[in-house]
Amino acid sequence: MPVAITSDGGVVVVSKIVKRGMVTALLLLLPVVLFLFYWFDPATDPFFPLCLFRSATGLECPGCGSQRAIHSLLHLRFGDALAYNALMVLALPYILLGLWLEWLGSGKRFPGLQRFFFGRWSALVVLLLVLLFWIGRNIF
Amino acid sequence: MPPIPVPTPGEQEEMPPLKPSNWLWQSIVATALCCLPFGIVGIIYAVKVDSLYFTGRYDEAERVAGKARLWTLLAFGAGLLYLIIWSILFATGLLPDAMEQIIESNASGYNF
Repeated sequence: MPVAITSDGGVVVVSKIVKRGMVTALLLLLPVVLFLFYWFDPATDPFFPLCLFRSATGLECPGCGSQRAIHSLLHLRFGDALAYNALMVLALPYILLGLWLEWLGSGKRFPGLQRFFFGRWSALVVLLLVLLFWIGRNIF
Repeated sequence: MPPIPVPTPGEQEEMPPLKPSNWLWQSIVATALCCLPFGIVGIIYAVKVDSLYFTGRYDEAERVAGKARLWTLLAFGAGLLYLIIWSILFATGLLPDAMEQIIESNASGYNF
């Protein structure tokens, strides 16, 4: 396992340094991204990226509308956000729970919670929900 | 009295390894934020990781967890790459005509 010596003489596994660097970069980038999505409106401003799947097929993918939903959420317009992409809005608390359990180490204190929400059955349910959402939003 | 089963050597100290991360919520982030179809492949592997682990097939679970990680990171990588390419094409006005038309007709419903 590759290791590195830190300035205070400690030995750290390199992959840990990489991980820390990525987390730091994400934390620095997050406010910038949130500001962009607050200030500019993906529903009217032209420079937000188009969905390749939708551009090619005319059908909506499970992620279509996420950008407009984020903008709506940042302006506290929850109804609009749900209409743009209900999957993303409903997944947000679930994603935060996963982040809290796995990356902030709470999974060790609440192993039951981790197993219930991120075990094999929940994974299967999530997969089904995503596929149903994908099919459903193109029918209705 | 039935004979007490004698544990074979090695059975006593055999402890199951820690369950590898199945990358479930990370692959959902990737799916809900765009990067089809890699995110969905990630979710499929997440299902497999836990099924294998809880039936005692630890080595296979470990291997499939690696695949879940790969596809999830691939989804994020593809999304990031698309964002960079999009930014360059948009800034230089070199977007494909079909996309320019979508933007001009103000069909913002095509934003992912």
